[in-house]
Amino acid sequence: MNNKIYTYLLIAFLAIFVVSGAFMLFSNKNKDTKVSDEPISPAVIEETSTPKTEPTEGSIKLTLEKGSYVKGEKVSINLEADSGDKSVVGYDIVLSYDPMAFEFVSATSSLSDYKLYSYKKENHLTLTAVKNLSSASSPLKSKIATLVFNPIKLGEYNFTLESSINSEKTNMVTDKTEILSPELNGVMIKTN
Amino acid sequence: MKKDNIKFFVVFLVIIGFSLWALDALYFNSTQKSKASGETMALSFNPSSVTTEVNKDFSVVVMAKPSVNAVLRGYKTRINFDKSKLVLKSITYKTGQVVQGLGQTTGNIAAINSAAFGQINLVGEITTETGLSLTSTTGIELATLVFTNVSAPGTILLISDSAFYTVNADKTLFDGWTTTQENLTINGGGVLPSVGVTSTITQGVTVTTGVTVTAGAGTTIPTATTVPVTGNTVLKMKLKYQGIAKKPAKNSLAVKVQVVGGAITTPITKTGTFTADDAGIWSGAIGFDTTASTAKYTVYVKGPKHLQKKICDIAPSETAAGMYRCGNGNITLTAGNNALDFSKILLLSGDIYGPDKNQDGLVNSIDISFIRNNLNKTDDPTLAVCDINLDGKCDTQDYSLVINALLVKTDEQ
Repeated sequence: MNNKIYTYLLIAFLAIFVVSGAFMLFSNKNKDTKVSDEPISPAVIEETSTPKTEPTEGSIKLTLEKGSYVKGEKVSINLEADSGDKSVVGYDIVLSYDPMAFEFVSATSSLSDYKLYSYKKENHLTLTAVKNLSSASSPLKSKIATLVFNPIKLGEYNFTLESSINSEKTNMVTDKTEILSPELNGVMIKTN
Repeated sequence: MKKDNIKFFVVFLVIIGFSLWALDALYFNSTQKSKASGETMALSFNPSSVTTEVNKDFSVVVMAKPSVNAVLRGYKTRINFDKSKLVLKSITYKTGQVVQGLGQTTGNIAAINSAAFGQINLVGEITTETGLSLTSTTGIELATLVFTNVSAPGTILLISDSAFYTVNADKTLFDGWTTTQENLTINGGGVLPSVGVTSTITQGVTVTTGVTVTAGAGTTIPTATTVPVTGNTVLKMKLKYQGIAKKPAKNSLAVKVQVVGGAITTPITKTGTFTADDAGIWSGAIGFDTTASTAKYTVYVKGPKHLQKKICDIAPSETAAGMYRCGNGNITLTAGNNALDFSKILLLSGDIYGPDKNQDGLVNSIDISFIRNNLNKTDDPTLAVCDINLDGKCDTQDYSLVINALLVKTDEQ
């Protein structure tokens, strides 16, 4: 009789153990730290327009250089800008990301006549770029910079261009010192 | 046979359950193991405890170990000790060179041992071009301290006020390290040494600050109208601004000064009028009321075209232009006149303009573009914003000053 009770208790305990294990498994699947068994998975790009309270003019977008990233491979993110007809002489970028999942490596200007400065903050990155004094101002219509990150955790993570964090803002400045608040986006990067 | 089936089923469930638990722990809970924010620099002593006799010397090494590999440019930390139980004998820097005027050395021992509180400020900088590579596996020795134990009861050494400056892969400076500290126990440990001072202060009479005028295309420019200095405590300050090496033709600046510390819960902010001498040293004063005889304060200074500077010392100095940094306020203010000589540190320019056409606490593309777009203009509204070195022109010298300020970028808080 005692053996029977003992067996039932043991089975009940193990059943709870299994159910809780499965619950933890599935609850983590809903987070952005999902790990796939497949060797390579394509990165998923999600265009997520940042809500803005002010009119926008032009755009600055994040794009990915390639569709898949594997463990140990550096992630390159492009910044593409469109200032319309406005001639631009400088811009500022505020980019939020998870510093626990990605280590910022470098920011390189794709425009030879722009000098780019980067600042790694606690939970975001800020960039300031200015056009050389000797270069004439012109509209931005192309890739303006490449950002390189080193993945330190596998999973799915968002990189988002923010209109502002604290007093820092994403903007473009024209040759008339007019400040453009561009339309922004974000991308989701999945590494395996 | 039935009993065997149950046993088999139980073993099967155990294996499945354990496997799921192990998978979850290994792969899905990594975020819980991560640090709260940023990288961590672990500060400790080697050895971690000391047992010694009265009137015997002992030495300890202050260690630092980063959570990730890094390239170190500079550091500061404070070692607090109980003066009634320990006497400091020597300080030997093991990493980098002491920052003159900020870091304390064996030459400061008399002052350290006679100060109100036992505090050793270790401030070092790496002077090589490439910096010093730190690894997350070994860490480094910052300094060796030698003490004499003068009391039988146990005590501790406490680490506080630490900051580390490293270089990112793109050569930018990073100072966001979160520090953790392990104290040193001596003869079993004891009470933490007292490191604070309490005092009270009340905010003084509000003084009318500088007015603003509208100029050009809606640009608001702070003017240096004379501001009366009131209050029983007066700060008579000397300042040195980047790019201004002599007395300018327009010899007046409205400078915002903020005082924090003591029992002040809301920072006191005043604007003073400053004028320059022939060497480009700016003098001016602000006043407020205080009831405290002695207290430690921090002063923040922000010029009309400049980044805000945090200053903790009565007469600070620096080895590299604009690179003075401090942690806790160490300025003692008393009723009456208080002379504060900040002229040995450079106050960086650059924050001239913002989205609302006023200073925004940042040097960014807006400030730089303003100068670029107004080069060689000479009208007063433009010069009021653009002419940083006050030479009567908006030119490439002003542009270069703002570019240089990108090294700091933001107001110090």
